[in-house]
Amino acid sequence: MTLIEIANVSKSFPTGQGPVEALRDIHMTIEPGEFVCIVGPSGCGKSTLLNMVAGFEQPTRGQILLQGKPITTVTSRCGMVFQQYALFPWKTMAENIEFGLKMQGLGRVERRERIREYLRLMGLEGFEDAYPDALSGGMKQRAAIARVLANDPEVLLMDEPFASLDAMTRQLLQEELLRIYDVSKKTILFITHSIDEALLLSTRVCVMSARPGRIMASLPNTLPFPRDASAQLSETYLRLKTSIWDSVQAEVQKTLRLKVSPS
Amino acid sequence: MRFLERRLGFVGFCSFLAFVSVWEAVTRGGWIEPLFLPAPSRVLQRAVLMYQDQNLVVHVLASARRVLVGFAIAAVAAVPLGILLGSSRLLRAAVDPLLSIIRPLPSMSWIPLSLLWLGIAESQKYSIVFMGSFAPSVLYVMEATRNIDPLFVRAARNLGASRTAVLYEVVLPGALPSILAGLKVMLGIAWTTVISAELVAAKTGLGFLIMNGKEYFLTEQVLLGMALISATVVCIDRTFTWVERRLIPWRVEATR
Repeated sequence: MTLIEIANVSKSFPTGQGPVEALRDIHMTIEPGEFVCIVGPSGCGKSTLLNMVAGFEQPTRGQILLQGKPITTVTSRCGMVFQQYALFPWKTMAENIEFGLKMQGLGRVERRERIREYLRLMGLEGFEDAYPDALSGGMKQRAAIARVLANDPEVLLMDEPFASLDAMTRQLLQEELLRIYDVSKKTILFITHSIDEALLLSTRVCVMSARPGRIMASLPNTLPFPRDASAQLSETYLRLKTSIWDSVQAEVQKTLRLKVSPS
Repeated sequence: MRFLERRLGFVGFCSFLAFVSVWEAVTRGGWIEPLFLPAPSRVLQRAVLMYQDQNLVVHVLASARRVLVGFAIAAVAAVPLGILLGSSRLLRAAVDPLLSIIRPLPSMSWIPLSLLWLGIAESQKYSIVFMGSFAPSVLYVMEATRNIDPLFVRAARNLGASRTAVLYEVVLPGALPSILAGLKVMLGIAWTTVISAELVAAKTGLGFLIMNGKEYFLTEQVLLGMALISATVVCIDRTFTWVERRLIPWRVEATR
């Protein structure tokens, strides 16, 4: 059964100069266990799409279905990992991971059990009593991922989660995410503007156009698992990257022209 | 860090000492009439005298109690109300006009009405402190609540928190540092209101001490009252900062 169906979704925002169309007629389905990366130029409405899947915003037209039922409000079944971590600074790492479990009404013993499990999974043992502001960006994002995973959502939504990390930490976390994907078998919808990141992580890459955002291409990523940075040297990788770049390039140029042209 | 703090503390102490010495020298030298400005040593003498009469401590405690009781009632009412107003546009629209009416009224202007309603009992003094600090405290808390990063609210909702849970799990702790900072400012203002309340119909308190000194041309008693206000405010401020650090441990650790 299809896990997520985005059915002919359009979204426009009201502005002083009339409505601006952010997304137009998006149609895509995500099957259980898929790792879908959406790639697109900045400002193409990728985040808006993800926010609608999370239930933060509602489509102007069309609807988004989770296991056949429309998403009408915020739901913890679609766990979100934000680019800016969004860890609560007044809670320790352990308390942050505990938050969703507490909201579910889980007992103390079971909560402690799960906190320990996810601290171990994300390599955060020894940091459970630290406050987020005392830790590096990489550690914060590990904790944010642990917090969402501990809540056991149907799907993991990731909004450019590694974009504000330095290159080496990013690569480390990408490899960790692949390991977690392998262990947890979670369905992941991941947004990025990096083709390399999309190819390293995904089982399928969707390319979005410049505003108004549309899905231009949906390519299965045939790179074999397990993957690491060396996958980027294979011939398949180059072929895939070229074909994605061909479709993205025109769109990036379009956005550049939009920004340069006097309006 | 610790060393630097101690050295800066020493600098502050020296400047205080210099201020008092110059004051003492100027008045002892006979440049200034003692009626206009008595020497610090005279003020100290007066303090010792009044302390031996037992009633100095009574005055300090009377004022401190009025401030703390009046302010505590105001804070207990203002924090929940401010959080609700900060998180609901509808409530804000309903209550905002009322707050705008009350806020600009100086606490002094409430004295006649409060005397009429409550007489010269202690509750009248509490009410003046309350009226002086309640409306501004509500506004502080409301602003603190509105300034919370909406990302935290989104994250909490996404993790399964209900709207009510968001209020006490996210909004309250998230706004706590700014709420406490605001209340600290208000506590200082509460002191100005209690003094004004004690200028009328009071038999105790530092405000009374000052007015009483004025009646009998005891300038050193006026200065003593003023110095004691400063000293008490500093003590309460220190205590407040200590409590603040314990209530928001994540800030302390992050800046260490």
